[in-house]
Amino acid sequence: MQGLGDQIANVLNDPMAQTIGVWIAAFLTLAVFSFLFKDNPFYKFAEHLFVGVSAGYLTAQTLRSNVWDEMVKKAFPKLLGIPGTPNYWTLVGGALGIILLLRLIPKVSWMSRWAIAFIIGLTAGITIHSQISSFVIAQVYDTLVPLFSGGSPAALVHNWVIFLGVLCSLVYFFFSAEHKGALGLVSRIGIWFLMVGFGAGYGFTVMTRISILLGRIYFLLGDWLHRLPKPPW
Amino acid sequence: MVEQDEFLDLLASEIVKRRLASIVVLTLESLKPLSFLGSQALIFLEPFLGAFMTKPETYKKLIEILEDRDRLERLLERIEELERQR
Repeated sequence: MQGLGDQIANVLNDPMAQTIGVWIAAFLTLAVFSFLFKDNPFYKFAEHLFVGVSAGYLTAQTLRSNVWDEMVKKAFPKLLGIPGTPNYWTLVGGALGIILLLRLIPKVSWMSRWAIAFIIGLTAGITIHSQISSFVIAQVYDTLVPLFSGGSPAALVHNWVIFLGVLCSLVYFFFSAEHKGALGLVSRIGIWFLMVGFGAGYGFTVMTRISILLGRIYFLLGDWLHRLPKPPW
Repeated sequence: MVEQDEFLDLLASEIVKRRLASIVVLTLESLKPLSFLGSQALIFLEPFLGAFMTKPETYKKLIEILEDRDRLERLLERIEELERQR
């Protein structure tokens, strides 16, 4: 006998269902693009649908993976006929979740801060190591590069750019002395390095958006209208 | 309505006072189509962020601005107006 998940998968794999899916996706893509003309009911429909579907999906996904799989199944495996020993510690997480919901009752809403404190403390503890190693130590390490030997001339030029860029940018943020004379010149060069960095970041963002747009155009012309030749793979 | 306008004025003047007009206008203009999604994300995060807020009503007013694109437009106009007067 097929489970509900298999039955849904069978329906979704049906060619007719896939065609309907492509048409719905094409309609929603065009509805979002219609904002380029002006704000309109189609765009509003698409954004409200997105919010509703996201909230519904996130809730269902959280209930299934966090509450059911991680808490109930692990705490009461025998009750559910699943192999494994019960781990009642998962119920502590559930209790904290319920305490978080106490925020909705004004008289005891202060108790929700316990759960929030736990979440923040745990997150900070877990992430602090990875954040320091990737954002501080790794960057300092990448700045300590050979300047006079140990690479091709092009690599040495590259290393000098990194060295001067870091030095000048740090001087720009050094406010203990007035930016005049040599210090002013170095800090001015620091601004240029910062501007080039911001410009590259902005350009990269635009490029990412353009690639997303190309993806949608490929979808509309290929999957929906079949006006593109099939790729060789 | 008057209260909302006052809040818009206050927000705009604080932005201009901190010399953030250009960056705020650029950010809001580029993210304007997604303002409704942003407001809904703020509603979703409200129970969590609320624990850190001393003035939850200000947060609600901010959500109301983001929810309504006309209000967001008024905020942008107000920022530009105050920036011209500087």
